Amino acid sequence: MADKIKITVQRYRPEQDREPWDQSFEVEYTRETSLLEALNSIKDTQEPTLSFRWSCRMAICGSCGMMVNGVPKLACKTFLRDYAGQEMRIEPLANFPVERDLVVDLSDFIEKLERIKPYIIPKKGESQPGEQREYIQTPAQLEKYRQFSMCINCGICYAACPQYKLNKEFLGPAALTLIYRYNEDSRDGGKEERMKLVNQDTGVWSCSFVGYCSECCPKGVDPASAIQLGKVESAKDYLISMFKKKGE
Amino acid sequence: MDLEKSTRQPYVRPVDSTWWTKKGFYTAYMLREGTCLLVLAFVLEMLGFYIAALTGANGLWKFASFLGHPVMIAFNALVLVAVLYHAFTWFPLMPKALRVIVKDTKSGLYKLLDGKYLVILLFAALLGVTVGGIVLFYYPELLGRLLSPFGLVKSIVESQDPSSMPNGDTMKDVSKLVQDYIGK
Repeated sequence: MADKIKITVQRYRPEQDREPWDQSFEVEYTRETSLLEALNSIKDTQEPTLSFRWSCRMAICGSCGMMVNGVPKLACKTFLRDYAGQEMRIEPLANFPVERDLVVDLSDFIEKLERIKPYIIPKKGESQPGEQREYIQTPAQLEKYRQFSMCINCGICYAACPQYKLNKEFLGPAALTLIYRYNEDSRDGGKEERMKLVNQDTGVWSCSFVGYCSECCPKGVDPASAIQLGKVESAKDYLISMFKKKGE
Repeated sequence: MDLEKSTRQPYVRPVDSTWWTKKGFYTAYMLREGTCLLVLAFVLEMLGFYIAALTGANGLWKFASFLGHPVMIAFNALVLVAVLYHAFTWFPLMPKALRVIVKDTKSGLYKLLDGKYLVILLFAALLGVTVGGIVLFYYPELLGRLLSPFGLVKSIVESQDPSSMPNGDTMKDVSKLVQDYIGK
């Protein structure tokens, strides 16, 4: 027999509402029911206008990030059984503008991802444009960045970050983690370009090491670690620049 | 329906200045950052003690009676708790800033040291003893200089009665004591 749970969802319909409001639903669930399935069942049987993003249902696409009782989580990776005997309150991902219901506007995050050049930039003189060849990497070289390449761009770390809440100019956990990921890649030659972003006021030094991003990350990426390692790199970069001739 | 017209009107949620009270994790963070002010209080106190000791016995007595006030004793008890808490908060965070790759695949000192605070303490003590030992090996006279205010306190406590301090003759003796110590 299935148990029941009360789920309160924050609604916002831009064409009708001036402010968000709450709507509650009773949902039946079994041991396997995820929050995403529960939301889909609400949409199918109770409230067809409820809007939320989702795609893969298996914590790969990073679409279904939302606040569950104040904690940013992936709806597909959140199970109702863990909230047995409680009520659930679902809000759109914190720190982003609300577009509709549980859908947020992630364009600021996406722009930051683009800004940090999240791709391998060939080292100068190592290859010709259009040239295709192998770039060998040892397991040890892979291990340097592997953990930080697991990011699925769900934006949960931005919802967890008080610094991003207070200052939207901050590059933020995921972008800074990806910078570290590419800078540490033995095949990459773009570190010098990206360090400019790391060293800025809005780069690693805007992080005050709250650490909640790593607590919430659904993929175990540990962005707080990447940012602290980025601070070490930034400090080294500063020291080295003091000994370099100007204009070099 | 007018397809040209967008009904977009993104809602920006207001930021409440009490956001950090809403979640235990944030409150613990604010406590970690907040206790650094009491760490500063301790540093200033030590600096005050040092300056008081170097300016002479009279200053030192004044400083000691200031610290002996019940309010200051209660404050310092609070400072002790805060400093210990502040120091402890860095233990779980430290491995995040230090990354060691072991045998190609096991990554992160975090995994190795997570929760093993005794091991971290031991390493910290070892490092302290090593660095301190090297410094003192090359500059042995540094120890005497650093400890001179403490030695001064001991001498005064052993040789003088605080109630007789304002007395001119005693002050002369103490001044000589101080000068001896500074001269050392």
